[in-house]
Amino acid sequence: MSGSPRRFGAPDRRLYGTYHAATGRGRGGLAAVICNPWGAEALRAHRSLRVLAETLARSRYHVLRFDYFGTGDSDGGLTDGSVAGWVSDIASAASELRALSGASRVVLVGLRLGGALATLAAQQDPDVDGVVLWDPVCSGSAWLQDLLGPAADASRGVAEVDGLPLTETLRADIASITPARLASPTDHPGLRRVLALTTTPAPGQAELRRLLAPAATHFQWDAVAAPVAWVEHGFFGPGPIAAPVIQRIAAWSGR
Amino acid sequence: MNAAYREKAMSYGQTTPLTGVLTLPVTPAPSSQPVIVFLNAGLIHHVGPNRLHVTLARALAGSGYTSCRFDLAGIGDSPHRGDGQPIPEGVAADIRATLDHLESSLGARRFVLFGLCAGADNALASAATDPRVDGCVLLDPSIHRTRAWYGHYYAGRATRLDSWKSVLTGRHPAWRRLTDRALRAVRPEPNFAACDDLPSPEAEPEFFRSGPITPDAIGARWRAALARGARFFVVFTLDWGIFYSYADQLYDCYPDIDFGRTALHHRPETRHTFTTESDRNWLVESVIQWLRTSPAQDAR
Repeated sequence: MSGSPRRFGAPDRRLYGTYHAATGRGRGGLAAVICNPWGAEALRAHRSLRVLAETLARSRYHVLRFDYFGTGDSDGGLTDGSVAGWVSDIASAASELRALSGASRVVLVGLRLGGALATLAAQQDPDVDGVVLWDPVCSGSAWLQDLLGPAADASRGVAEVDGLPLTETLRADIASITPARLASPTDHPGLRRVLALTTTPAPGQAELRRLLAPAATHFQWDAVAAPVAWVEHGFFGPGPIAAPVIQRIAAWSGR
Repeated sequence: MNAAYREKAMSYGQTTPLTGVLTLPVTPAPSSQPVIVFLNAGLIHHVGPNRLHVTLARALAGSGYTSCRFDLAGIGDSPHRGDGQPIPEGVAADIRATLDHLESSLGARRFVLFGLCAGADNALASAATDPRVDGCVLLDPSIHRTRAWYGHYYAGRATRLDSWKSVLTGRHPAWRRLTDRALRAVRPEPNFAACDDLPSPEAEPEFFRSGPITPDAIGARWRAALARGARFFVVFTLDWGIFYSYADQLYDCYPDIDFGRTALHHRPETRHTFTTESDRNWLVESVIQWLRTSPAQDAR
């Protein structure tokens, strides 16, 4: 099954995405925007996210996966990224998906940094119907430590990670991601249906789970035994396909 | 945005739908000018490692060149092939289909293939057989060791302080190999549950190489492509040091071949995927300069 590539968004912020129309029985009415991780994690997880999109399309969802501004095939240079800008890109993708599919209910599905961005986007869009968080980055500062090592706090200017620059502004943006920020306000409609799946323990997960659970009407947070989609498989570049996680997301989306 | 390029998403191909992105200069390029075609680097999708293909495509458009980056069947955004061809033939067919599409949609007649690692091998294979391929940019293509390789490689390592530091601090690759082997013995790889309708982690074919390539087979490709008059820009980097350790090794590998107009660069400080901005800038500027100054083949 092949998606349909397209460019969309404001003239000064053109984005690249791939649309997968629903093919399953009872199609229509449901839609999912897939929110990428950042950097090498996005490159390695590309295979899993493509398979996720195809699987969701077979599970009655219209799906749009896309690249944030300054990443992948979207416009913008390597140093043009910001958390606020990427959150607005998710809103733009959701709007494009509604226009393409006619669906009104949109779920945001985010992997790693994409999980954090999806949560922030859900806080701002009353038409978001739920979020799926796949190994979300819950603590931006801890994630930066992972990427940059012990020098993360002290580094100034542009730091390079696997050939991609992290500007000082973007690092400050990311460092401001905390469980409390992701879960506030907890009573937002977009955060009432939450599925969180983790394959790897990470700082902040337990706190985010504790903060999100009380206000949600449908809440599942499970650890899943699955390959880690964003870690290089051998030295071939991409990560493995995290089939067990994809199956869980598709099963949840079918409810 | 005042970008010096326009981009279009492309879907094409007959037996297997392929996906790609076309990057065009603001002022249309003449059809006599080659179109640069980026091939997948291993299994990485068409944006390239650290977005290298996108960076280059937009810089090339700024200098008036059209380019296309696409995914071979089964990689990135292109689905698995539907015609059942084996990988080497399938890769060649997908490259041909891409050139066919660019020829019919743009009127392009000449192409320069750009490949890193497995992409370089696939580019050279096409250059050997497809008369439309005017030249190639090959970054770390397959190469074999010569007798002189050993002297250069081990002399280089013995005189490098960081080699000795890595041995003493336990960071040397040999230590890691030993540790990994020991860990595997006590902690086997997890066996994930099979899923009914999804590929297992290992089920997707490995396209990092389109088949085993012998030194003779590589030499035959060089001979055929050079005999047609194809031109080459070739780079060997630090991470290819395990195969390529001195500047002229390519010529020593094939002493009977006249590499003629080949622009050969040995960059022992550059990483395999051009991870630093200065290396990427060097690559962009050098490729554009080479495209402009290396004479096009006219007598085909």
